[in-house]
Amino acid sequence: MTKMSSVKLSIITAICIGLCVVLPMAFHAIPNGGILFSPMHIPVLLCGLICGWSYGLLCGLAGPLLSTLITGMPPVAYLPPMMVELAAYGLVCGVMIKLVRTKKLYADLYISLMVALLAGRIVAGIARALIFAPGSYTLAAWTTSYFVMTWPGIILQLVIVPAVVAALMKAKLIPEWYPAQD
Amino acid sequence: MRSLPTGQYIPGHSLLHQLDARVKILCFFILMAAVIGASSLWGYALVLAVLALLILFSRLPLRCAVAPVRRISWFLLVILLMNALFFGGEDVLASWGIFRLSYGGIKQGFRVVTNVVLILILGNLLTMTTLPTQVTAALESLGKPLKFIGVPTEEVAMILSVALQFIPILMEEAELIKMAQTARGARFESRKLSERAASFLPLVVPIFISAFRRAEELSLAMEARGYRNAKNRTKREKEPLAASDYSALTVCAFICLLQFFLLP
Amino acid sequence: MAIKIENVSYSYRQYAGETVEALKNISFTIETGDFTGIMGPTGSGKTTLVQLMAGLRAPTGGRVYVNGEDINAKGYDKSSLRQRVGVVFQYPEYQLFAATVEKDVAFGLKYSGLSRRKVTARVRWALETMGFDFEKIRDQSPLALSGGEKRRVAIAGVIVTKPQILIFDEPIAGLDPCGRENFLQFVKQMNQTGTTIIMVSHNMEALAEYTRHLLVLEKGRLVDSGPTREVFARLKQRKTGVLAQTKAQRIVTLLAAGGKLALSPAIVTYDDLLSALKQELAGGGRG
Repeated sequence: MTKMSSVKLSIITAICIGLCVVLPMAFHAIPNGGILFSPMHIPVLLCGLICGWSYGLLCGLAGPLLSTLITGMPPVAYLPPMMVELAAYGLVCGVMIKLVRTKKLYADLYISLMVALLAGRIVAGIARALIFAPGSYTLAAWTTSYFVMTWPGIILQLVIVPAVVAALMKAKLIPEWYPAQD
Repeated sequence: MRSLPTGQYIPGHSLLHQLDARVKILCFFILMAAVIGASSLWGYALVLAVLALLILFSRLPLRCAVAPVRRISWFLLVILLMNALFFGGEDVLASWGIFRLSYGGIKQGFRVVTNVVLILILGNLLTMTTLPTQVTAALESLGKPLKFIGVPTEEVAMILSVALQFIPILMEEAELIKMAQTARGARFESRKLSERAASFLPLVVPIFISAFRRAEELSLAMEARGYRNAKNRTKREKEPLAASDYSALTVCAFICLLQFFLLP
Repeated sequence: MAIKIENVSYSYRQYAGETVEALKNISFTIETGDFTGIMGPTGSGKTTLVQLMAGLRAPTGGRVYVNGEDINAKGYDKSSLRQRVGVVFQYPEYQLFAATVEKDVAFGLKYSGLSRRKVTARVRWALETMGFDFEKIRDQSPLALSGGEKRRVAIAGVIVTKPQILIFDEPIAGLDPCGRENFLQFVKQMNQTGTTIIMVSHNMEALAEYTRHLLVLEKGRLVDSGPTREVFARLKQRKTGVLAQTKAQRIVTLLAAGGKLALSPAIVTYDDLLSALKQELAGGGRG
């Protein structure tokens, strides 16, 4: 696997942050697209997978922040827990993709994504319970807000993120992980 | 045409517009703490009064200042209901299966919603009186101490400013791609969820491809110009804080102390 | 008539909140089977006009009719419009997304209700029309193709629905001269088989050579329209505004200005120029 320069990693992170602002707006016109499918997660997950944990972490923190500054969504009150959640996704994606090497691109991606999606929700739940809404946060509320309401988003991310990674490799915009396989 | 995004910013010359962005961000966090710390009716009266004064000082129309609250009002209702139905209070008024409506739950729901609304308006005042570029520059400045624990703050600042510059371009491209796929007959309203998720592919894949192509072009250009890292950039002159900035900080700190120690 | 635009205006709001009028009170008709060109400087509203004609934006004033029906009326079936009106945007290769060329081209037929066999036959036809060997290309990734191939695949993905009206927005931008000529020949063929063609271009030669009617936009207004030759002749007279002359017209002007040779002012294309020069050599000219 050839590595990308740190400049390129930085710029890819920058555009992923930009897409955190743009994708929810592009989904906006689609009925319930924004709320149901959490499109902002896609660039963060991708950034972690492609650039590594530190860039993924930054993307998860900066993406929602810039989105709030520019579009007002998510509202400032939801920003901190959302930043924690997305930062965890980016970070865990980056760590997992380093650890999981099954020699199969899609297997690597699915395992990393699922671990990240779960870990991010656990981290966000703990953060809510301890910091943002101490005392009032229950397990039932956690399950409702992070699984029941977002499972369409989980499916969307599991369908789209691997497809985008594969497409970027085909278009030679990022190096292939298993060049011989193709 | 492609100017930097101005976001929520509404141009003006009010007291709030003129404060330093760093001070505004600090004040926002201090006042947010004051809102969360409010535990009595008097406490809420205090933060409400402060907020009313801030809206007055900002010279923004009231309609603008409270706009985000209206936008998510149905969501606030959901929070209220979730708290009311799931909060494990003692004094249960009624219960259906896993739902338990309790007096404590209703009270808790109102509290959470009030907190959210107040912080929402506070944040809105910040973003409506401050340009996104000012906010990111202020965050860079406030993040300086992080350098001592190994965070490359210059690199982060570079990434943020590139991201800001890219947003209008990416937005335009996303719009064009959406139109092109719509013209080809793309539909985004399929009933089946997996189908619907797949229907986003024609939209999302090209958006990422064109964005990554731009990233490639820019990083090649930067490397060709000998860019290595952000360390050697010319630094913007730091503006010193004015007297009004210091007094704003003092007043906010005072309000926060008042909240925590005098109105428990 | 294929398309009728009636008093159409379009304005949008920018970041800062000020309103920009992209199109101001435009009216024209395009007959079925015609080959119409649209020209005008950058920012004159050409692309907006294309988007309005394809029903991708609704006008802020006026009406757009396709085959006599108001496409923005309530209850109008937009999805049938998508089958009837094909749009090839600038850099269409940016809309490729699927894992294989075949799937990408077939995307436009997803809701057409055609059987799988018919879909494959259509995809084959579209790719072969664009000069591909269907069996060779069908399973390749569209994203791994060369730039020119990508564009041809993308166009195949638009013509696959066999639209009655085909709109091109700057289709030859970024093509080499050979690719340009091939492409224009293909468009001409589509037109000869009955497809109404609308082509936005900066390329005066292409417009003069291939279109039958011309619309000229300037700052969101329709400043001229009519048969291509007449419009070019008029544009030459206009002192201000759109600077639009074909190279042949410019050669005629230069020859006349130099006092060397006065040729007919009706010359628009190279073919005109060539025949005028031949006539001149044969001694039949006015000089």
